[in-house]
Amino acid sequence: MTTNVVEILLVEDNPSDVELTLHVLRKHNLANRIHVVGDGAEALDFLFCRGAYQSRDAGLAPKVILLDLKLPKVDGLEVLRQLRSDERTRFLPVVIMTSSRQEHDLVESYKLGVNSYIVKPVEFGQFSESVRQIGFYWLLLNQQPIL
Amino acid sequence: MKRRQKMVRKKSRKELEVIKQSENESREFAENIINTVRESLLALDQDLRVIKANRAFYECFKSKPEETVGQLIYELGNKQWNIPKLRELLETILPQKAAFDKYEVEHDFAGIGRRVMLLNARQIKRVLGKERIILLAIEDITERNESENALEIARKELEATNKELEATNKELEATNKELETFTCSVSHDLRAPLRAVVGFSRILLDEHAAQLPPEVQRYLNLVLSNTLQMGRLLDDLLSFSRFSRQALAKDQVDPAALIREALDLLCGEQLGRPVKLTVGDLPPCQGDRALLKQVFVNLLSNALKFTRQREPAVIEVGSCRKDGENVYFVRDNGVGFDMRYVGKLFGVFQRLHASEAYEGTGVGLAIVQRIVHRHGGRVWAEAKPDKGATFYFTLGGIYS
Repeated sequence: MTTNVVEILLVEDNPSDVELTLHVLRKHNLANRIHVVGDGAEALDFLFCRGAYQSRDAGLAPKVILLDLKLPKVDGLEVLRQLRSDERTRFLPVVIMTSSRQEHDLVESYKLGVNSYIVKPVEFGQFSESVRQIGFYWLLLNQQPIL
Repeated sequence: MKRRQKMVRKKSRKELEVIKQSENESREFAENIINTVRESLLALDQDLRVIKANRAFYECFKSKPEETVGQLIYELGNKQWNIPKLRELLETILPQKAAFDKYEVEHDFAGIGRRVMLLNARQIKRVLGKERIILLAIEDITERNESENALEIARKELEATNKELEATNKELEATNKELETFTCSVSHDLRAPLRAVVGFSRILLDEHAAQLPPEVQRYLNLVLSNTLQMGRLLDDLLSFSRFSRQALAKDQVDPAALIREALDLLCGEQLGRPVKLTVGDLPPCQGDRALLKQVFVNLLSNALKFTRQREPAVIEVGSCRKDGENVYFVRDNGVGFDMRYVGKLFGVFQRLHASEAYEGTGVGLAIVQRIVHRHGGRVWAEAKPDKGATFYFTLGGIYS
């Protein structure tokens, strides 16, 4: 994992979910440039190059942020809110990956301008297929403007 | 002269008789009045002795004319009228004001107990002589007071109940919030460990099968299927709770359209087998479109599921009128069930068939019942083992 050229920022506090996600991404050679943070505060530090990430090059934005909703310190919706209200990060692709099917979470996420909302399936076949598709789509297919 | 005198005397005697007669008539008139009024009346002379009492007085105070008339008011009925407040009224206030109204006196009266009396008095000057008479009207307002008090108590009780209700409401709101948090935690927190169990078991089976003895692989498959079943139970519990809490958006609904949509969703169940489905005339109803669609989805999905061994499966959706209500029904020629177990039919996670034969967690009919109840309706079923089942429901609306 490198903080220099990160393509995927995975914001996830559950170590098993982290491992399963990495397992799938690795299997499809999508895990070379991934960085994992365990809470919303660290995600914001990373993205705004603060604290432990002071020396990170802000010009190197990830291609996609995989964001869990229920997180320690700062929750997913708040991370999204802060990203969308800052000029430097407002276009960053954010995919919510959560266990929550709550209508409220969905609506709030879309209100805040999420790019995609995925409910993590319990069944592993479906889980790995969604992770694979997200990886391919955002890393290989999607084009984004250079700010 | 004598004759004239005689005539005059005769005439005045006659006049006197007329006057006497009219006086009698007046007295009779007055007596009739005072005996007719329902309030107790006392006429007192200026020494406060009773000249007359009316029938209401005798009835109210259980006394008789012979022990009343001529008596000093304070001596009446074992001196029960010797009340300081009354003395003040009669001896001090009345001589000055000639009248008083609505004086309330609460007193223990012999024979009739503690009463509250409302007193009105008038002092009347007699034309002849200088004596006065006092008219005293006594109204027993104990019961009126009691009912007013009871009313006041009831009002206060109502107020207290309202406050209690408000508190309960707040509690309920808090409980609902808690429930929502609970549901959220069920959906989020319990799903994550399940995903881990399923995920790592799957990885072991898919990527390390070569190192695993067949017995271990079998166990891992059991872990997997049980964990997935738990995932389904969680999902169904969540949807049950969602259908229970989701606000009702009532509208005019065409059940036939709901059935078409429901059947579209269930088309997979009908593939590759003969299903004879008839939909009769269905009157429109008032209800929540999405929730009522779920009712038909669940009932039709059951009908399709339990007719799998039939060739053809015959499913009929229809309606009838019963006691002014529209009753909708879904009937099938499937495996049916024993009516002895009908009580369990609509319970959450209750199943009447082995899960090996008919999959499902047993929450579908519980959802149907919850939705129908939320619409103010009823749901019931009739069936015989191996002879099909019919599910009926109403939506609480009475149509003329």
